[in-house]
Amino acid sequence: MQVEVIYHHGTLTFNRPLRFRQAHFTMQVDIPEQVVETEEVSFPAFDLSLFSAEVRAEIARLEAIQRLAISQPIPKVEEETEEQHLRWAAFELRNETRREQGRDL
Amino acid sequence: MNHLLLDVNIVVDLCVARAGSPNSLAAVALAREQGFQLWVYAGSVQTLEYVVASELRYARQKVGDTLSGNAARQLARQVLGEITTNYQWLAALATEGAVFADEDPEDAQLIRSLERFTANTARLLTRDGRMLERCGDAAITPEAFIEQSLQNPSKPKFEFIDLKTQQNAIRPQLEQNIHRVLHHGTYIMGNEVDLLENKLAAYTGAKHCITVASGTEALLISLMALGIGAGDEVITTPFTFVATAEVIVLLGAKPVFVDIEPDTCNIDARLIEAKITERTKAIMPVSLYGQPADMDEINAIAAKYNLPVIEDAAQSFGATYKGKKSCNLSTIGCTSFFPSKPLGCYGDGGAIFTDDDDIYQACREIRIHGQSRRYYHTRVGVGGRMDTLQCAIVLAKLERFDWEVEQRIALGQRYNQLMDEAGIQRVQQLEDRTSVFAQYTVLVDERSEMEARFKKAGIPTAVHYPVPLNEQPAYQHLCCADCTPIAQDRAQRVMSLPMGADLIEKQQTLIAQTL
Repeated sequence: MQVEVIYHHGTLTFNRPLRFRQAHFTMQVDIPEQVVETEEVSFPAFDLSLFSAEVRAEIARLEAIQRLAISQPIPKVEEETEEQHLRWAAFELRNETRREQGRDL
Repeated sequence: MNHLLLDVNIVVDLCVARAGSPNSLAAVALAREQGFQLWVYAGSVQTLEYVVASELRYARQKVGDTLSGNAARQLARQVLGEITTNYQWLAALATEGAVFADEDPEDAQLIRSLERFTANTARLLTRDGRMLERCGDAAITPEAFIEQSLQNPSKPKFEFIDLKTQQNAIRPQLEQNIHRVLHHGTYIMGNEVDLLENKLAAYTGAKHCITVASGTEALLISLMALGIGAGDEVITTPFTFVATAEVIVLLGAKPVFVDIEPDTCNIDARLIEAKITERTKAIMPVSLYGQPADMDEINAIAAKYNLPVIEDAAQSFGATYKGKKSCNLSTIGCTSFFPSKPLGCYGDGGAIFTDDDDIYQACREIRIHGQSRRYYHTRVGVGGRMDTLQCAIVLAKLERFDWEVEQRIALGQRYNQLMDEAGIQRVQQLEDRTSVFAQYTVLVDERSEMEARFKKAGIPTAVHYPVPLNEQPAYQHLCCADCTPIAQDRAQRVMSLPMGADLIEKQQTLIAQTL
């Protein structure tokens, strides 16, 4: 079935009351194209050869840490508690407010 | 040293590859190379955890991974831990708590935290337009920082004694110790005083340690405890800091100067006996530049004439003589915790060491106006206590002290090798003792020219000491200048070079090349 929902700071709210038989399920969401941030801000690029070997080595060290965060296996963790969920929501609110203000996170 | 405080968006750039990351990485790498101190605000920890987690979740979504909130936070904490290893945590202070009147308390905290740095020495590195606007010149983007650094690279500054690197290494313990004192509020004779005295006594092997207000006070109280006064004579060296003789004169006694050894610049023990008279009441050798004098010989002469020996170990805490620690080599040992000393505090401080119970009791009483119990004054004393805060600082420094002594010895030996290879004359260290190299001192003939050359190269030097005490206006009536020709000669030629546990080999090589 199709229902209208309102997205507000990370939460979807149904426009009419509904009860579900399951606590967890997947659904399709239609998002208006114009609200999705697609453009990545671009920054001037610097030629790495302008930097000393020491600086390049430090950049490489930091990049390796970044790569590890992306490539390492997803850790097995406990489910989020309600308190943690609320904290996430609070920080998402902070992030979205900043995005609305055109600021970096 | 200049400081860069990293805004949350920069730390996130470092942790997660995103559009701004390459320039943020380059900016912090350049800043490190150029000797900037990089700070992350401790009050931002939770924001960092969640923002990095959120950005990681997004980044991993792009490669097909779905991270739960807790998994994202775990990865975020891991990457934050690694990224911030080389940075300093800037503590959140009370003044950064009352920011709720601000339109953005998070921003206000960072802005206020910048205010505690000396003007024009700290900037916020940020990509946030609003912060750039609010901070003005005190904020800079990674791109502007890179351009500025490439156009005008700043060189890491040489410190004569690098206390900043030491502070960075001990900051957590240091801040914790200071805050503990602020909270318990016993600023005089607090628990830290006892704790430090016990640790210092154990370190030196002496039976007793009494902390006092300064190295000078340590010498003064020691002489008072020995009952030295008007008409008495104390044998000492003229080639030392003035405090050594000053305290003798203050008590109405007379310093009798004995010349120094040409190689170590310490008092020449062979010349002491000839200066002993019936008025002699003590011998006070100085462990100059961090190396003890010939203590066995000095103690033997003292024993022959039944005299006490006070080692002025202001520069030599941590050194050894025939396996025994400086400060525990004679009747009394006195050290200083002046900030530049091998073990220093952040103000004035000192300590007296002895195995003698009577001297210990006397020193303890003299330190507190001569009182044996509250408002009961057994003898004349001074207000000579070391305050609790300074003891707390030394306690934090003690944890790293063994490593620092090892470093100082290794760096001193490397200096020796470099000087010997270059044919530069230097103060010698003897095999039966170690020096903690409070100063690394060479002997040069054209000292003014050499000092100018170092100044031009941006390397600080110092002279310890340019005028022997027996040539100083206040003391010259006590002894003729020509009576101590070696001291006279050394005063014209000694020059001390940058030294400290955090000196690096590259700097030493540059110093040797400048010589």
